[in-house]
Amino acid sequence: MSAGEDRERRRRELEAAADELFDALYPEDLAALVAKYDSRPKLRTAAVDRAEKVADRLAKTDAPVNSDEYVLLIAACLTWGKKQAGVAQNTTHATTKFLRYRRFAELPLGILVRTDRIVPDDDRVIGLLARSLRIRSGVTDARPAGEPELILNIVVPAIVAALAPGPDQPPDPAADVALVGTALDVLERGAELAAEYRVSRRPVPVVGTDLPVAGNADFLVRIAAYRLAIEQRRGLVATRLLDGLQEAVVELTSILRKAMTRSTSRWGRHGSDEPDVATAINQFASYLGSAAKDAAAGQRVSTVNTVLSYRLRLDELPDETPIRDPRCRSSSAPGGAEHAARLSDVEHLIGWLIAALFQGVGKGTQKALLEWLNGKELADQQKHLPLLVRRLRVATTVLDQAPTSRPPRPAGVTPDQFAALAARLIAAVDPGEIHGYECADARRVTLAALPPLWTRRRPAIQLLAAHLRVLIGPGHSGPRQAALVAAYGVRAPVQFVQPSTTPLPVPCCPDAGTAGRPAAGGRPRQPAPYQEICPHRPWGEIGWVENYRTLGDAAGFTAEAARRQLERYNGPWPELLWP
Amino acid sequence: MGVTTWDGHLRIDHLADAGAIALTLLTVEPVTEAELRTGLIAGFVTADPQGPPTFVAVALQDGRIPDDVATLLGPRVSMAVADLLAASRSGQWLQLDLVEIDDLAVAWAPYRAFTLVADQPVPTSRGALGSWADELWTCLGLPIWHDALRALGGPPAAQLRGSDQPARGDESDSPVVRGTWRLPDDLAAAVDVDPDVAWTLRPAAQDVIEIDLRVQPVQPIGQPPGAVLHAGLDDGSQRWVPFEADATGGLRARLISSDDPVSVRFRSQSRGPK
Repeated sequence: MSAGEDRERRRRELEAAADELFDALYPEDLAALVAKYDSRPKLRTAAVDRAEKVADRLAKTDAPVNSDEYVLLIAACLTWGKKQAGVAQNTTHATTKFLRYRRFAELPLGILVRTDRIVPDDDRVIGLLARSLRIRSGVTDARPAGEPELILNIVVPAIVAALAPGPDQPPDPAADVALVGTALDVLERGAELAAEYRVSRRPVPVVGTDLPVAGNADFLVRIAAYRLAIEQRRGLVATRLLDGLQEAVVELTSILRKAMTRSTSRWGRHGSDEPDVATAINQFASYLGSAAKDAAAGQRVSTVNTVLSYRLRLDELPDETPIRDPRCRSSSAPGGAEHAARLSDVEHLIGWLIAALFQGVGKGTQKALLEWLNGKELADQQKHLPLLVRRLRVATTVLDQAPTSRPPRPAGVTPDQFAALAARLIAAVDPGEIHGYECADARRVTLAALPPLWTRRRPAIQLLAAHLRVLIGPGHSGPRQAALVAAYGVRAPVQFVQPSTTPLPVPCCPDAGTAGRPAAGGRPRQPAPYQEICPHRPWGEIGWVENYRTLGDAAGFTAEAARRQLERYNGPWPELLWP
Repeated sequence: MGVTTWDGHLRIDHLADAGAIALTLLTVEPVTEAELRTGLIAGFVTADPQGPPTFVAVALQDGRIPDDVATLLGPRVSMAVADLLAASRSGQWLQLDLVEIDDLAVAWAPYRAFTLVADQPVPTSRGALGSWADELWTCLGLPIWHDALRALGGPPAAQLRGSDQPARGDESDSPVVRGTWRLPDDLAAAVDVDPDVAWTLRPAAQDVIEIDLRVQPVQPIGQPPGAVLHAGLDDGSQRWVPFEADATGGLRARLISSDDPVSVRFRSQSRGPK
């Protein structure tokens, strides 16, 4: 093979690697790059050009670039300035960065790049991040249930920073195993201390109720307890632990108060891209990090937490998610279609369903969607439920418009994955469900294809309402708005909100009277008639589930006020109000 | 982002020194806490009128949690608590799904209403409905009632704070406090009685107060009620007294209380084939 052919092949492989990397990036990171080069192909050309130069340079050394490192190489050719992202103009810089990335090749690319965006060229932060990820998965593997990821992302980096022997050492599996054991001990100790403190009913310094996270004093106690547990492990505290904890809570409260009174930290104000709770969590991380000997560790732990918890916010939709006229277009004539034609209709609708669910989402969301669509996410599991409900609202809106073009394959989903997924969902649909009414067909196909997300609707509403309360923040009508928007959004594919204020018959169904849960004794529910409003319908039952009056009653508004609140709503998760 | 009670991260801690079990459903939201009775504390998310308890601290009795608390926690959580007490570990995590959280929220509803009542501008005279295994229950734990108990037990000069109800009766020498209170409709329907409960507090002896509770049965439509109403003091004793017919055609139950402010609980008891 000639040198020219070799170069040609390498270029093709680098281009493929560039596409793989772009799909792995967080959407907003990719958007920042594309913005500079007008289009993704132009960006790819620039990155591959630079990558070839780096590869040429390293070819002359004893550590040339292997073809399985091409993705990493492309990533190293990207630069992340304060204001602008782009492709490295300088081969030496790109080469240095590649050699550094190579040492952290185990990290997911999206995370590697995100870290680099926040603290460019900081080995110690990336080292701490890599180790924290390994310890975190060791900790979650060790127990079937444990601390939520939010807490692990704060505490584990702090444990690693304070207690890892030689934090800058290269990866060592034996040391990692020992550190996982240490982390489990510290986490247990922290939880115990928090419980002891709580049961002792010592006074907790009153924290302003306008601070969402700080509003829960017990959460502060818990964070302070983890810090004490770390210090105890370092041999710094021995006696009078609860006194120490009380002092720590006071200190933490004052740190938090200062951080939270920034005027830009309120949701909805200009210049803020994250809710108060994110600001507070970052303060927690910095506070825990300062339990380490090294004075700079607090900042590093806080940065690592920002990167890790960024994934938790990935479910935020990018702004460019299309909002189109949600009204259904009616089809020309119902019925009369052949079986084959109906099947192709099913294929068309499923293709669009997948396209709409995956539209504009990043890697983490893709994973959650795939688990759901492949039936691995069981009904009533909370972890991804708010995200999936919101994707469902986006998908039903897109499908209601009955797109006639060929459905696009979502970025980041391989052709094989797409085909397998489509086949699986199509198999779940009975072509007899297709009657030739576009809007109704789309809804019925969606219902048949998607695994149920809940068995009882009420607790699913409560889960979303709770998350919305945290996101909206406290305030006069915040909790009631949250209840309203959650009840509007939590609907199965063929369930709707009736734009009316008529009162419901009381009770609407037998489930209404049994303290809000299905009646005891296993008596099967008689489905409420389609044309009646019943908020208790399970996932598979079709019909109206709410109107302005039921929504208002549940949230403490009159029917008319509920309608106005919904019209005016401009808070988080607006897609919950889509059809 | 954010952790709420509905996410179901339950932490169970056995505090051997305090002789207590602490259960925490993790949340970042502000919490209101109340002592429900001696040895039982619960907290609820202040902004969540439908939520499960976010915190329960319960004193152990004979090395176990009391039966009523175990019933309200449901079989899975109670089992996990028992396992923890039997094991040498001091704490563990349990992931609850949405239905399990919902069952907790429904079971603890009367205690939630009692705990969050401090935030209600207008005190209600109606109990909240809760589930009690396969039965229904509610809790009469109004501040006004607690005040009345305390006042009766105190020196004779003690005055009830201003309110037209309860009112002192005049027909006997001993001070008597009367009032009415409403059962949740579904509980009243389950035991076929009118929701109004008339209560009378009467000092019976030194530091002892008799609580007289009366309800009116609704006219029977053919068959006897499927369930009987029971009442009991929420003092950890687990004693329940059935309402029985009196001479006037009403139903009546009598409880004997100390002058500690204690709530009264009502629940249905089905006439099963047991």
